Amino acid sequence: MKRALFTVLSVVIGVLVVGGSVALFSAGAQEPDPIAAKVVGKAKTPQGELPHAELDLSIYPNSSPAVPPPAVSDRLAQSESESQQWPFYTPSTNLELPAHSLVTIRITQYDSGGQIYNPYLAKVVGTVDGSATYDGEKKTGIDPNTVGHTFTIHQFPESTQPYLYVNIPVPMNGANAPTDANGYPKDPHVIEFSFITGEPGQYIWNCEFPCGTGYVFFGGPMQQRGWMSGTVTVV
Amino acid sequence: MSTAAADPVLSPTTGEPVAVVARRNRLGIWLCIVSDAAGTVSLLIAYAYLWSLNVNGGWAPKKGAWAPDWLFWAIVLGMVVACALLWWGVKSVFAGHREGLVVAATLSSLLLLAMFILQIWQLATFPFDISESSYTSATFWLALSNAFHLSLGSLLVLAVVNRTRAGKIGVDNPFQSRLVAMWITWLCAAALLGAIFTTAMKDSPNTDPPAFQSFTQPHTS
Amino acid sequence: MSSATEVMRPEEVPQPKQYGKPGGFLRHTNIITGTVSGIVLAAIAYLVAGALRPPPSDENALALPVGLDPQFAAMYIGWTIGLLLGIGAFDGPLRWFLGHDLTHEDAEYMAGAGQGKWRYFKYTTDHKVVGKQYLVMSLVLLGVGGTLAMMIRTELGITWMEVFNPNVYNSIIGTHGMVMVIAMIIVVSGPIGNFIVPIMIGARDMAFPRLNALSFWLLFAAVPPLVSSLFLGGIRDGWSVYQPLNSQAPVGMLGYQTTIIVFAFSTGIASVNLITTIVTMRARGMTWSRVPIFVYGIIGSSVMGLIWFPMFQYSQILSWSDRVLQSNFFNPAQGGSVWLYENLFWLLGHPEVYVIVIPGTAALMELTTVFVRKPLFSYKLAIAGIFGVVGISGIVWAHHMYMTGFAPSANYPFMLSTELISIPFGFLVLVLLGTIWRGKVWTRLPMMAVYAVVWNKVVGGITGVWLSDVPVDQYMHGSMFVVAHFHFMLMGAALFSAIAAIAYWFPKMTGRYLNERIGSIGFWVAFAGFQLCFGSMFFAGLQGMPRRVLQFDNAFNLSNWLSTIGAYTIGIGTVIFLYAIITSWRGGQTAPMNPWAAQTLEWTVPNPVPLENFKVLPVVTTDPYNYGVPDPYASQVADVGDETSQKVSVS
Repeated sequence: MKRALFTVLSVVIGVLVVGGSVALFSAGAQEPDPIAAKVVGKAKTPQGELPHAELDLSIYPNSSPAVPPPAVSDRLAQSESESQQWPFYTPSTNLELPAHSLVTIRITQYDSGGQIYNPYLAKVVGTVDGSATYDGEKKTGIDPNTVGHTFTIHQFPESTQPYLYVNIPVPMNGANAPTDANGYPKDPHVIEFSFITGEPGQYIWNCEFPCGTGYVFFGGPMQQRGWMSGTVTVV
Repeated sequence: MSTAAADPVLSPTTGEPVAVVARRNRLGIWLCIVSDAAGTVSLLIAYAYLWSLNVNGGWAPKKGAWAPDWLFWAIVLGMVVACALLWWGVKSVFAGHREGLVVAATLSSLLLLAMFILQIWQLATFPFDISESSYTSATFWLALSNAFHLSLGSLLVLAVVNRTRAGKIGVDNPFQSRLVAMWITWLCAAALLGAIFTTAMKDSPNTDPPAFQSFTQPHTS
Repeated sequence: MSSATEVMRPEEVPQPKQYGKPGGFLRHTNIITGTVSGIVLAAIAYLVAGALRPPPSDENALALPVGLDPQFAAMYIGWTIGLLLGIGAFDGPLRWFLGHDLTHEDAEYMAGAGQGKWRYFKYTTDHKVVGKQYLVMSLVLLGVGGTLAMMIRTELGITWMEVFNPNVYNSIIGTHGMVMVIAMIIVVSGPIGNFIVPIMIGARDMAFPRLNALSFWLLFAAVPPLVSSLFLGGIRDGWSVYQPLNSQAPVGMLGYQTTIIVFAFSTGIASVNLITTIVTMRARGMTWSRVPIFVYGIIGSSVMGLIWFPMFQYSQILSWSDRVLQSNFFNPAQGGSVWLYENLFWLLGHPEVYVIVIPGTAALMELTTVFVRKPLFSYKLAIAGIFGVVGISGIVWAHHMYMTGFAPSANYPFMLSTELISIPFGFLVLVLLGTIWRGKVWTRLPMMAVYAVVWNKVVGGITGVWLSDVPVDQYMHGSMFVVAHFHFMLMGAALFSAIAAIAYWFPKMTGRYLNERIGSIGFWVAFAGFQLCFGSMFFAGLQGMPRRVLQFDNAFNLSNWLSTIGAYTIGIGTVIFLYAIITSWRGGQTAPMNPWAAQTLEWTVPNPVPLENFKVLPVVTTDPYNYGVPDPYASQVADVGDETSQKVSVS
């Protein structure tokens, strides 16, 4: 009886060790606090009149005293000094959008860029009329040699997800653009685009431009949640 | 061997005749040589593989300066002379002349030390950076491996000098000197292989290598 | 033979000068001084490398290996050298250099004489101490690797949410793989090879006792860098960390590289020692046709380790160089080739499977004869099988690279060589089955493991033959089917063999019986869980689920749920088995000298085994498997009256 009891106790200890390890490392799975798109009214769309929500995002080339880095806890992240040089989306990469709505996102882009590997990703895909507004000018794509980043929403692999795919190329700022005291361009690009959400669901989005470090520039911020990738939750 | 078979020297730690221990150690040295040879072959495979592929046209040094051959061969020559000296000393001690080993091993260790310094000098004065091309990387590592071999070899031969002078290696217990000589012989072979590769395999035979566009995207942001 | 030379007690031999107390510097060293010295030197190396680091400039700003690589590389080198310094590993070479040879008292101190349990925490040379150190280290590594495995299955079983950050998940996968590979390489060769083999062949110790201690403490030095990499960016690219991912990964990759480089030294040294011991220190009369089959297994494994491990080591030395010295072995932009890495890696990477499996299989053959009370079925076929595998193992590596584009014309020759290796490997299974055939089986725990392993090996072997076919591999490559296959080989065959070997030799190693009731419960629970876990994984693979993914299609949910339930079941079984080991070791039933009535030499020495194993060295007159005579005990004649030799005759 005593042996049986101790045998069970051993199993319990084993479960605690595994559970503790899961808890220790799963802490790194935390996403930044979500940011929700604000419903600002109704809008006419090809699918009829739908609620209209808006969301503002910015892309910075690095953090500074004026712009703090993403507040994410990742136990495997690079050292703080290295990550200060990483580009990131702000104020959050964890986005909440209303279902069956027209969503307009405005991205203010302060970063530089270069040539994207796959020119397809320099095209606008998945918006209401297949275009986006770049500094007030309507376009269906940009030059693949002058891409700064992209904002690309993907399906989760689960086959039951409602379809949603959006790709917005974000143009680079020139190397000689005038900058402010923190080194950010004084006159950043502003990109505005709208798309329609369907049923509630979970999606992921990321930048497709090789703006990271290592892994031929898909490492570093491109690997860490909270910098150049995140989640889209349609609620 | 000059010692009397009826009264062999015994190992103080195991009580066995030192000749028995020496046979065991000889197999150990052979196996160490096999293992070290596998490592050296890995380096030679790396050299020959990159030479034959010339990936992205990146085999030849960017500034066109190959490593001078004479230095590799000078080091090999020095090592071979040191090795021959040591073997001469080993033969002397097996023939009953301990002083012969002291003199030969002293000269051998000094020569190996000189070759080690020469090897370091070669590494420091290569007409290229290690990062210049795959040739420069492979050549650098062949030389580095030889420097490691030489440092170890010169220490071992110096130990032979020390131990012979202290009477630990002598006419009735000469075996360790032969084990070290076996190891030094292998080091010469390894250095020779390196010299042959770096001399004979310079321009890649692949004159139309695959080009992968550019892997040097500007590091943006 | 001159008995005076063979049995002369070392203390009767003229001794060299005794410098200080016996043991000298080693009297002051142990695991604590080693660890402290390692940490201190690591910290110093890190700081010095940081101070010497050139400031970033426009010229080097775009170079790939930027950041803290040189500092962490220095730190890991500092740790390894510091540990070896602090544990006393350099004492022997220094004394040899200075001519301060060991006295017999020195050697006895170093072998742990009179130091009690403390000898397990020192640079102790006695092969039995090293064997036990290896046993504990294997169990610790299996515990760490097993915990990581549970974490993987937790993530894959909870299909409705992410438990881990994708980077964390990838790091867990890579670390689990490498920890388990190291654990499996040492789990039989380390404990059993060190503890049992010298006694089994009638030797007093290993050929090179100090190298024996060095091989263990190098292993000890190799483990922390691997675990530390989890906290320095992790090994995110699978256990094989192909280039160029290797060069571009976070600094934790240096921990992985250090581990392999140091572990390869440890394995090489152990291989040299084991082969030399077996070839030169066998008891008189133990001809090659009388050598126990387990010893052949250890030779085969050591030969493969000796030849192929340096290539694996160089795959990491050159990768280290690419990161820290910015060389170009694997950077295609500057003339490097990622295929070079894959070739060097798999030149050991595949033989390593046999390095793991062969000793375990040989142990099963050894113990099967005991529990079936029959001679080994076709001893020569078993030897042919072992050395057939050893020989062919060197020409199969590129089957891991069918789909990489490296030399497509070589695919079919490698397919043939891979299929060819199944023939000698099949010999080993046939020998096991032939030995069991029509035998009166004494069903004890080690024998149960034989049945389990035969089943697992057949499943793993057949699926391996499928995967070796280029057309099949084209579809199954990189899928969960591959994962299930190699777990059937590396866990189903090798780990269960290790369990059998540990259970069989447990009474000799600890002087106590393993609690078979609890051990068997743990064993069968783990076996059932194993079938569920990896059987389901075959189906996930056949459905098309890729390996190393965090998220997957709902179509794979069922097989993943089942796999996770199976994995938890394995976990429960393993913990129960571990409990049986620990409690039996601490206070199990005392075992007699030869509890299984076996006929190999290790069972002729008392428990606990004396420091130099044999009072007088044995002489062997027949082969070790003369079972089938009416009374196995009667077949053993120990002529202890003869002062010069102990005759072990079995006919």
